[in-house]
Amino acid sequence: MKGPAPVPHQAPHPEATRTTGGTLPAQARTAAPAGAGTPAPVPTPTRTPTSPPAKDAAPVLLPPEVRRALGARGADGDRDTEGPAPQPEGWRPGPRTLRLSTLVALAVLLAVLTSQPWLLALAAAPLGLLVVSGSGGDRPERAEAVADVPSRRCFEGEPITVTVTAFFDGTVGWIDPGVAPGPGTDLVSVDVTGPVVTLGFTARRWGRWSLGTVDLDLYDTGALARRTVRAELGEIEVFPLPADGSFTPIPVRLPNRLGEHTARQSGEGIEVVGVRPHVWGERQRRIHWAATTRRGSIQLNQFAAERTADVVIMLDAFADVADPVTGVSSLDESLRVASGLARTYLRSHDRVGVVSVGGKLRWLQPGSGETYFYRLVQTVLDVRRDLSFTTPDLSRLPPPAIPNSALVYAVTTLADSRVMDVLGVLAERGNPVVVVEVPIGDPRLAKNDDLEQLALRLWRLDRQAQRYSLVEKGIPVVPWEGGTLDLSLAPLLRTRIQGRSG
Amino acid sequence: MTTPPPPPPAPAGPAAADLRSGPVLPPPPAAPGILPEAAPGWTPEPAPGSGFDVWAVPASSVFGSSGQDWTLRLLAGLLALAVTDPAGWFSGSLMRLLVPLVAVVGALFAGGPVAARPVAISFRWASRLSQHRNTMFTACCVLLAALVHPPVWLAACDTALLLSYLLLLDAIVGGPPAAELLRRPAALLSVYAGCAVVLAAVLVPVASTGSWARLVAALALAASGTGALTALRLHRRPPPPPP
Repeated sequence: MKGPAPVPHQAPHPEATRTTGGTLPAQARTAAPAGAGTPAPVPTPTRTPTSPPAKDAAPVLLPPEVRRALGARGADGDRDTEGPAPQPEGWRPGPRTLRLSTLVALAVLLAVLTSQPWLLALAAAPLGLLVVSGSGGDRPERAEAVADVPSRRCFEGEPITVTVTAFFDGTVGWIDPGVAPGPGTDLVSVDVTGPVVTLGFTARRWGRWSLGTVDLDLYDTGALARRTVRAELGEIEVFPLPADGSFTPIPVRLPNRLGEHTARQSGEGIEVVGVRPHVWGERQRRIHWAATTRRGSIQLNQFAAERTADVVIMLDAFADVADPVTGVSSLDESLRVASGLARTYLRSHDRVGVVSVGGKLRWLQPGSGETYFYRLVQTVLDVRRDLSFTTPDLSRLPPPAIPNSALVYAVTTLADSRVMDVLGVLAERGNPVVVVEVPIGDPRLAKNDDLEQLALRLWRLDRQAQRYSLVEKGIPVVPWEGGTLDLSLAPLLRTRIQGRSG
Repeated sequence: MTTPPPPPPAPAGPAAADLRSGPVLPPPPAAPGILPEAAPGWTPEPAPGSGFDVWAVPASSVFGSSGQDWTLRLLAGLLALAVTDPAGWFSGSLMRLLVPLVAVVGALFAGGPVAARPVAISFRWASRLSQHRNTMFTACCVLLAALVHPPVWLAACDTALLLSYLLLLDAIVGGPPAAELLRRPAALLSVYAGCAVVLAAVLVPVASTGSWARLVAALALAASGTGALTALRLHRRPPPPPP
């Protein structure tokens, strides 16, 4: 049996032109001397439409009310995952009361100590403000904040609107909101209308995130005392923006289900694959009249069968490498590529499944339908929490997770050697496998350091050897270059992808 | 044979709309009904007659948002210069001139309004001092004023400037209730008058009046009490409705 045809690289690999980023392998780390953190001159990073903004992008100037609500947390995205400590319940003096009282006490104390009675006039000023602002209304005895999140599912970059309503039984003079957003969202707007606080968030990264907490400071009518009520905003699911693409390479063998891909078997499709003599008993509606006239006997058109394809996307969650140049997380890009593949095949009515390796083994058997996209993504939304040091055993997967003839797309960075074992197991099972390599960039190097240059060269050679070993096993390796998946998948359209099972 | 669970509801948004090129996806889930039943007496709207037509506008509407910061800093600088006894700047050594210079620099730094929410963000002293720098600035002004023996006119200036600074600072960072004071001229007048009465009372040379000293002290106390009561009455009276 002839082995599968490897697909060569049609374009130079991204690593051939990138000079920084990524992590050094063990040997390179050993060879690199101390002080190997100086960044080398790099080309301007190209940003794909699905990539998050680079770290060195210009900071967005937030409105003052948003900055006040965020406090010291800011909008840099490096916030703690834990919210602030809850404030004590009940009424307590506000900052204005503390400031004025401090001045009164200090002026009186100094007047006594220095025997200067005129300092009592300085004490009278804040004391007069305290007296004038003394609360004349009834403070609320009961107060509660209720959050309302109309939609808890969105895509990256989409806005999320949250409404927090304060309920109380007295009179309140001022509501001052403080927001501790979760790690995957950004607060972009704060609007206070009466007792209703409307918060606008923007989903920054895919994942299952906590929206955070909101503390509403309720001030009395004199702004002298305050009380804090807290509202938990709950969790949201942020779906990745799928990479664009329209090409759907298919394996040699397709399952026996009606679909849109032309199979090699003859069937009832619409693509003519040949002409054959009529057999007694067959329908005569597909007569090829030209051949019939030429040969003198009835000839029928022969059509190819149209079948659906089974596609399983294997997500490599062994490592999450941040590119130091662009700040792009490799796992973020991997899931964007995987969701783009899933969307492309689901649009052509194929069945798509997913398996994530790295820590906990997550899988979902192939299915079809537009809404199946969301189930696929939901299955792997938590892979960021799955980083582990164990190698998953694919033999523990039930057979429906990876059908025999399913085309397997392995979306990986090839940064962790354990994924090579997984790919080897897949190749031994006979599935046609395609590796979509997500680039991670090169490690940072110090200028004019021969040792580091040598380490970088060894690192590149090591990765080239990895790719070569995969190609030798009959596994095509296509690089993800950003933009559209068609650039990566175009070489696979020249032939059908073969596996060991055919 | 088990029936697979139904697919989750789809997100709503342009990206989701881009996804569904063919069939129409199910609508996003409706907002959960977590709003509690409004208990009797709960007030989700401002109480009528409370006099507060705005709820949460931290900046005062009296000054522009860009000018109020520098107005406050200017006032802080004047206060810092006043409490350093301008009459004695050139009476001592050259080092004496450094005091108003440092005071003005400190006023420009610490006199501006702190726009951050009054929550504890760190336990470090530098962070806490930065958070309470307005209070620290006014306390330092009182401390500097206590170190000198100003003439009467300068004591009056110090008092007026301190009161003006506190009023403007509260109007900016104290929220709408504090900013409301600037729209109540009677209350403002009572506070200024109260300070003037106290200043006059403490500066009256009662020691030379002999037996009239008790009467003067009693009059001062009565005036102070009357001023406080007037201020309270003015506060409890709702402001007139806007035209």
